[in-house]
Amino acid sequence: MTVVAASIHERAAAGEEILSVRDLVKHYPLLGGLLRNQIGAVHAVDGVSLDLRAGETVGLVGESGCGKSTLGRLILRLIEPTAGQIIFRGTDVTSWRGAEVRALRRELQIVFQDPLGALNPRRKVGDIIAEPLRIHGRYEDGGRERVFELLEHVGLEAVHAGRYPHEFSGGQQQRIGIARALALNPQVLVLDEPVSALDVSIQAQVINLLEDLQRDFGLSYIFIAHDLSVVRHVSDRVAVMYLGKIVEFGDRADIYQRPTHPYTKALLSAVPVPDPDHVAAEGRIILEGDVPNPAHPPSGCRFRTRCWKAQPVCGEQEPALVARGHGWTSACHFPEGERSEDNT
Amino acid sequence: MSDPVLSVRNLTTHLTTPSGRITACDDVSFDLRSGEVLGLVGESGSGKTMTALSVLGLLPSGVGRVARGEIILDGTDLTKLSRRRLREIRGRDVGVVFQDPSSSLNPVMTVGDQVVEALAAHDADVSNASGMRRAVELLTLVGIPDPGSRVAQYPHEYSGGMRQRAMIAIAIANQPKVLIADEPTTALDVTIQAQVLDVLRAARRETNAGVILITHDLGIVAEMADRVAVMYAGRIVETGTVRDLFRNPSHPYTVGLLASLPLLSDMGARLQPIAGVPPSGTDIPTGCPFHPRCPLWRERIDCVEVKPPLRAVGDGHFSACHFLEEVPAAGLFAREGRT
Repeated sequence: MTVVAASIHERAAAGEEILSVRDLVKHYPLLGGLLRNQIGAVHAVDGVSLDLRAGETVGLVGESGCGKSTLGRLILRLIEPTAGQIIFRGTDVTSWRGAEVRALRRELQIVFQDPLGALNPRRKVGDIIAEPLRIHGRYEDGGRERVFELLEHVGLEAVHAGRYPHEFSGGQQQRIGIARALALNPQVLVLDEPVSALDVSIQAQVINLLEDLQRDFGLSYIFIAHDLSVVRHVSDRVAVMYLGKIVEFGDRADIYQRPTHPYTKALLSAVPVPDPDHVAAEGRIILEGDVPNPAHPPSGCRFRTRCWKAQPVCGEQEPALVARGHGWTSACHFPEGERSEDNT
Repeated sequence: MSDPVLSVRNLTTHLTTPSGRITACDDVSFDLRSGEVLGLVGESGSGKTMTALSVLGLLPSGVGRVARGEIILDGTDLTKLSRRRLREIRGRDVGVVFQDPSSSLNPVMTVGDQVVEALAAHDADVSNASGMRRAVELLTLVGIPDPGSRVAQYPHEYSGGMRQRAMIAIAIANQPKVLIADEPTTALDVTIQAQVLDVLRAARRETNAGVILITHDLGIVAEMADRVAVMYAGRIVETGTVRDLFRNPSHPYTVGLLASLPLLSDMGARLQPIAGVPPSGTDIPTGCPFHPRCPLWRERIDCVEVKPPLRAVGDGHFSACHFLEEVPAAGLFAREGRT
């Protein structure tokens, strides 16, 4: 294992596959009855496969309850998968424990949505950023200077190390969270709604910062967000999730310009466009009803209860992810704009 | 042009907080006509919600106070009314929809009973039976499926989107002249947001109310509003038609907001953020509150000493900038800023 663990710490070359998940499943048991027996399960993540290449950003979008945040936490090994594999740099890390997980954490870090909630209010910013260095025994050797360097990387100053989180604005707090995530020089960051809590003018500052850091340090990002415009801006490839499953995955341009899954199409159509002269090409698609309960997902295709193209087959057979072009897949029996040419 | 149904003149609202007095609204003036949607936009703390609460007479008691100005609804100055008279008007002439429907609905009353309560509060002749019939009509109007049986359900049996529909039904129950919607879709998913915005449009058509739509989302403004007022640090810094604002923004802050937005059509061109952070209520800069973040400031003394008044840029289009002639449509935020 020591040999394997060492290999994950080498920096991945740009474009090389750095992380992949295979058929990942997370079911939360539903208990009920007098004896609190398991009477069912919430299918939070239900058979997701995804790969991330070094230096790229994969965006994960979908509405509340689609499983995007659960997927982020599974990848980090913050929660245990029910089934499936997490592979980091060619090594299956799904069953890693204790010291192995700590070694993994040096390479995989997470930034949360609510910066203030993720920072200990009683500790000074310098200590917060130094904590991962201390845990991994790297503080003694130049840790203080490393903290100052990290503050500078995220656009703050060395004097800020002596202050408490509440003394900072929301945007600055998010910068502190990013500095902490970068402390151990990781290769992959899972960004879970990193700018959703920020005002528009501040959101743009943090997005630019994340882009700079990615370029400067060769980071790979999994960017989880519900804001489709933000995801389009930052992502190279985009995965659209619905009720625990990926329904479409591909290059940003394909997903946004030629969506093949009706849900992707509806989601894009629902975004209000900040242009008073904008007229949606085919009119706005307004989906009916709500997202079904993930404890009782519909049979067959999970989107069929809200889909305007649903046919009997959609309730009987779950559509598989089918290739629509180079590295572009979607799961629909009746995909939009079936293209005749195939550019594989 | 018809007379405004609501006219706010020089509204100044103070909040007393442990860290000192905050001017939440500073000399805010606007008109609202029947059937039109006025978008009130700005970032957190810009004074949008406090403007709405001032109009509704719902400022937190003991903390918030209208210090100056008039709020004229159909010829009556609301700032001169007793709390009791104000309560009669609120809910009858002014309806309101807040961001979080779960905390605005009563959890132990059926949705139908809450609609009937709203009706009966302003019309003593409403019987339970006629009220329920009207409740079913209203739930139908806002698109609640199977309204005949849904009317007898409690809010927790509704989804988030349905609760917000129910709130809109209650808000328009008495055919209000003004409907205030404060971030009505912020807590909702995008596909549900599209549904609820559609319901708001239907509610406006049905009542012909003037709508004040408060939002931080410029996409929603572009889609829903006829006119827009942009707020910054308690002041309206620019106001005009939706097209004026998006096509010919004439205040550096409006230009900066638009440049900060990632667009669905954009493929990764670098965003141009506004430098710095919005001021907090207790330390609003002197003169023009935007000057420390403004690329047009260039250390000029007017911006620091004199609050710029709203000046006409075009017909019905106003900007509160001393140097609005210098505002170009593009390139203002070419250099990126950092907090």
